[in-house]
Amino acid sequence: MNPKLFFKFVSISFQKQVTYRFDCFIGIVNGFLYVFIFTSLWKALYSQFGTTMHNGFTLTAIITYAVLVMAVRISFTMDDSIIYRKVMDGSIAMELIRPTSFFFMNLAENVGHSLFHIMARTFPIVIMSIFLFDISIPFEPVRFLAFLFSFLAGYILISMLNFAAGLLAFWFVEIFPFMLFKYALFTFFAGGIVPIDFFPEFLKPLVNFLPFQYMLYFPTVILTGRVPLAEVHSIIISQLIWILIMGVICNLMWSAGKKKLVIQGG
Amino acid sequence: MELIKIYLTLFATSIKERMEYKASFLFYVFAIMTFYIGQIGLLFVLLNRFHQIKGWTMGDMVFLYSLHAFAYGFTNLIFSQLINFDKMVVDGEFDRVLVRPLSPLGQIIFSKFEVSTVAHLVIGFTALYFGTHLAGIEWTFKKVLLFPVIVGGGVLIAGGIRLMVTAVAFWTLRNRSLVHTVIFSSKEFINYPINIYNMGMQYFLTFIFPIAFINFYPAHYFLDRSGEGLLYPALEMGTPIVGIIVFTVSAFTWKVGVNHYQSTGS
Repeated sequence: MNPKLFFKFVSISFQKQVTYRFDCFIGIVNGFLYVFIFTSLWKALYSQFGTTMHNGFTLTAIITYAVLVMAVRISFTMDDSIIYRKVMDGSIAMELIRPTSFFFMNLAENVGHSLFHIMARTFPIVIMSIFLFDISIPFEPVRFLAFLFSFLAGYILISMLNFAAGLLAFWFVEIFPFMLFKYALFTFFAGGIVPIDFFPEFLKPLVNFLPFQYMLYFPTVILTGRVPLAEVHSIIISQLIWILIMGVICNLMWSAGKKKLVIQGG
Repeated sequence: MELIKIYLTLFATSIKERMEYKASFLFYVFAIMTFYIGQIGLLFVLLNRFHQIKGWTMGDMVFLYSLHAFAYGFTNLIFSQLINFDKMVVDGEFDRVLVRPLSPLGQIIFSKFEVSTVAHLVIGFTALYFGTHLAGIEWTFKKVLLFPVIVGGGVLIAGGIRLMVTAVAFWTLRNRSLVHTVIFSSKEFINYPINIYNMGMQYFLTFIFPIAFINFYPAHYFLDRSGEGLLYPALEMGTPIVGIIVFTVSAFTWKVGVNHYQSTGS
């Protein structure tokens, strides 16, 4: 897809978000509420022990993780019901006759949406948290660059997951249960609440088998400094492999779905 | 008598509507259960490592969760239509409700029943069973009698809050994000015993936004806990009273809202 066109779509989607100012304010409160709950939880858990290190996390490290993982999660905000609505109201037909790739159009729309949330919610929440909580983020430009790569890879992965889940609308009348199921797995396995390091041994094979940890956990631990720089490249390679796998799945579903699709005249 | 008949017909229709797609419904129940199991799973992961949270063991936490699941299950059953209330106002559908010779609130409540409550009840009973087992709760006659009263009080609190926040739509029209934060995100607070939060937040969750009465305070009674929480033991049995107060205030706000209502003209 032509990059100029891509950014045009990004900018349109961004502007759509700007119109809901009140929602945005509530969104900051909402995000901060989660940060408050989880930092309180970790403080309570750590206060019970004399030792300050659990599963490789000091109290400061786990508070930093709790804040940043929420920041990453909020930055990944996208509307996962777009495809469903387009199939339901028939406007998906328009997408089929456009000379642009539907996947990239969808990605552009997501990026615009997320960019707005990054500026309007992620930044204020992170800045407030820096003043309110005892957190420490290592200042290493190389690490930050590595984080950006991993963050982008995680973003593309989530986008693909949502794309594939949205395409299920070609086959099913009601896809909300699938979305909820996806959300349930994501909440547990992506490390958004409890980092993977705390999971018991018997869950590790399952965690490693699923792609979710590459969406939130790994980008976050690269930023917090938990992962040595020498190991970063292997994480990013694993993310790229998952993007490849998900890409094949999305492609197969898209071409099968197009054949299956029946538009009822709108 | 006639009135009850009409409400029952509305109730039966809404259930038939929901059961139209059986497979979808069953998968929906399954997806909700996966989500809750994931949440309890994360508690398990944390307690497996830390053994307790501020004196609350796994059994206590599971019992806390069961009170929560029951209260929200029944609240969803009864007050589910309120979540989309702003849409009714914006689309002008509320006008239709007003011209019928039935109570507007009654019509809205009885026009949709969220049958997914089944999922909450399964989770509630399972959590109650394991909570009883793990925490070694001794069920006296009085406790068995009081349990439904406490759940009922919890439903009045959660339902009252829902009613209150949806009534805001009479003034602001759209309030989706506010509804979402107040109804869904706030639930996260009482997944954990509220004594993990700072004093200010404990007061807030007790006296201003009293969701701590849904599970935290009454759980002290059932678990025979002593000496913690605000004003122990005065608030232990406060749930039904708080429920009645919250619901009365909300119903009053709703009435004021209906009188203030001006159609959007759409």
